[in-house]
Amino acid sequence: MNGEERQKFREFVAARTPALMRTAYLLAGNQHDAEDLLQNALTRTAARFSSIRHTDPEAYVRRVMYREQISWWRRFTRRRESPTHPMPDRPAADPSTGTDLRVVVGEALRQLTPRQRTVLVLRYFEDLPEQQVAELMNCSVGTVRSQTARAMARFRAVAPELGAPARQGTEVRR
Amino acid sequence: MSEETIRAILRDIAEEAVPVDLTDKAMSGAVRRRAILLGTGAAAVVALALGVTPLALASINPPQNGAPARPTSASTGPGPSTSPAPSQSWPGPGQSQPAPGQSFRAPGPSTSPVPTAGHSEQAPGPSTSPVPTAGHSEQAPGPSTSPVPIPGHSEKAH
Repeated sequence: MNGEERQKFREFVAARTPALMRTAYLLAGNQHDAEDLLQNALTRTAARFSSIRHTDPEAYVRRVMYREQISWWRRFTRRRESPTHPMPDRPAADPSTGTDLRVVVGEALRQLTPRQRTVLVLRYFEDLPEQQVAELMNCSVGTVRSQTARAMARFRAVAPELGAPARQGTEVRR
Repeated sequence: MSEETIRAILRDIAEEAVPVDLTDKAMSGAVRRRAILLGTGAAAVVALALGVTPLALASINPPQNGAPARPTSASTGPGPSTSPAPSQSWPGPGQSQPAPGQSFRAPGPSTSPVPTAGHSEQAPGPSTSPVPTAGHSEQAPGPSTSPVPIPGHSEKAH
């Protein structure tokens, strides 16, 4: 990269890092892995910035993050987040309390597989349609739907207090 | 669990992320990545060249199987390139044939009208002798074969 491209890249990173970091945090589950994921994506973007800066570099960074998140190599090299022990008994969180709800969902999110987590983030955080999610994840629309259903089922299994809000007074299923 | 609930929760969780300036790390990583790719590519090219070059050379310079073998002094049978000395090629009256195992040496200075190359063990050229050679099928007379055996002529070529 020449001097002008370096400057453009710095401006791009400074402007878009907060938004990209939020997405990386949701995908990775913790701050450290999120920084690692975003840095890898930005490294690849920097290598090709001269050719993509006129199109949409942010879309390129996001695409790299999504693909990197579900790549087998990354799963092989990084530390797994899946628990080895069953979750300890704890008082059921009060869904009416925002903090508890966020903690419960955060834990539930970490229990998901990388694919399931990516689908949830793309569908409900990025608000992307199923077709676009399928293109970004390089899979079919059917796969996106099945992964979404599995993620939601796992959510309910891990955090049953996140039941349907319409049903009130029902017992928490364990 | 409604989709709107999930969206709201995900937005709340995402707010926990702390933005970090990764510009310098990304650019230095890009430089390192490019260097690694170039080095890997160069190594692959060198490895390919080292693997292909011997095969290419072998195909250009095939082994020379057509060249006639040089007979050794211990050869028992007369080879195709053996050039018998003219004085002993045709056992004339009173002359004994060479014992098996003995090689014939080419004569010295050529007495034939055809100039010779000189070495005794070289492949014989076309016969210049008017004497029929049917009796000696395995021995091709050398270029220095004399039509008339010269008694008492030295056998040594040099």
